[in-house]
Amino acid sequence: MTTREFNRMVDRYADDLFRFILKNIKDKEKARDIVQDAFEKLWIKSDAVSASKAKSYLFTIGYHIMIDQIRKEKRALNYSANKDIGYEEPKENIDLQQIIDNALERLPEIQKSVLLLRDYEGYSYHEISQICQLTESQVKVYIYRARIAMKNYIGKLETVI
Amino acid sequence: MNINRNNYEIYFLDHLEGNLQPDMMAELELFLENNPDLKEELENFEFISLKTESNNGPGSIETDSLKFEETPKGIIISEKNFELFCISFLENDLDEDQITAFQSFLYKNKNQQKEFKKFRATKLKKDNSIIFPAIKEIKRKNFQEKILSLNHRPYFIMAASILLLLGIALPIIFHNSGKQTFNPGIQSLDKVSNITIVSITLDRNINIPERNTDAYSVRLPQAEPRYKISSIPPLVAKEINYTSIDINLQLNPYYLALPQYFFADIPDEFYAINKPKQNNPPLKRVFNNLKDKIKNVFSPADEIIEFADKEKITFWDIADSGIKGYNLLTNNDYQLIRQVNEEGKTKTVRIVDAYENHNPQMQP
Repeated sequence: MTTREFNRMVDRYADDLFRFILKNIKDKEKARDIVQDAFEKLWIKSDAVSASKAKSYLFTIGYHIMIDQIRKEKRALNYSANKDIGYEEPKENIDLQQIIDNALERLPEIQKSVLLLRDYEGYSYHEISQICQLTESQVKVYIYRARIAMKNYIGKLETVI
Repeated sequence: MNINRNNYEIYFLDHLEGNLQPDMMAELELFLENNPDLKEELENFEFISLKTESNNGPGSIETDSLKFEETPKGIIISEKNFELFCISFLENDLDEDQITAFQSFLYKNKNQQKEFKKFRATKLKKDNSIIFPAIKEIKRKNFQEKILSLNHRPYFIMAASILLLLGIALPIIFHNSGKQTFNPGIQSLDKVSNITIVSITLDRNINIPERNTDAYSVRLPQAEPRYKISSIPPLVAKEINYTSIDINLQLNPYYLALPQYFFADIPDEFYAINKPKQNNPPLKRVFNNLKDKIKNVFSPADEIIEFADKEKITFWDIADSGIKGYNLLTNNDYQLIRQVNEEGKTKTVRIVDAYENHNPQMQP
């Protein structure tokens, strides 16, 4: 990959990767660092990674940096590995987007990641399985569970739509 | 992985896809014996048979990747598999017949329409207001500086500097003495357009050892084998094409001032020549815009680079920048002395050492 191609990758994918990471970890500074690290790794491997594979490479690297960071923080905080997916009713006076965001936030990390990769980036099951190092069946199940959990959280949708 | 109530669906899917090894199959059967309530769920799963989708790029889904068994009565959609249908519909996993059956089912069941609406709301939409705030840092300077600082930095500086020195010195050398010793001395040039630039390309495949910044003193003869030196046509001055953004970020004559472009944190003396000039923006700033704005750096008539903001920077400013970089690397103190005529055209060019001694050897 040439320098020009690399810079083109930055233009094309920096926002996407940043959005994906930020939606997962909700911390702008950390998300920014992760994106920078991912591009740094891409640059180091620019001789080996072709431009056509750059996006998958970026998301794979970014995802694993993020997961490592989350694990470190959880260890430090002795945080529970999986969040409880509660089905509490959404509060009144918040719009649908806020409800969706809340529902997404309550998903376990892995479900959140596969759903974001699926909906935001349009990745196939196979590609998500490569990025997250899962089987395709696991990806399908996580997406299935995530949508069920979000749908249940949304609850009485007719009151907010 | 051991089967439990948190992961049994994965086993179900693998079973239906034929991916379960015999030992895992036995594990599944045992699990179902101990969890009879899930047997019914498996039956619902068995209502479908999943095929592995092909990987044709992002978002490519084979429409028949999720097959529903057709009974003599046709495709059956019930409360038991309704959620699966909703999600499969959203994931584009249904084929045309299944979509038709599903839409028909929804049409007839108002309550299920509401449920489907909830599922549809789970489809996330990109928030385009989220924008990565540091694109320039990655693309242009900080990121590259970070990378280059590991091992390439001194070589890039040196290469750019040597490029300049050779560009200026070689015509003198070849024209006057015929000797290939590096002896710029106090020579003069009548026409700037006669200058020949020698391109030095850094071979990125070379394993360059990491260097301490204190160890910049690099002997040119030692460094020579690391570089591929090739002649390029004499510098032809052209007007800047503001509309073009077609510039390669490589070591070439357009990047004579690479040291300033890449390394904003190098000592102040590196910028010395630019700072006193009110009309000249620092090279750093100029070259931050270079890639996007300039195709051909040098203008034809007067070797002056004119930017959109009407501030000017000359070839000689860039040349001097390179010499500063060379000095930084080699602990030398050469200067570029240029005399101009009344019209501002270059009359003579000299490269001298700190004491204005003549004929300083350029080897460190």
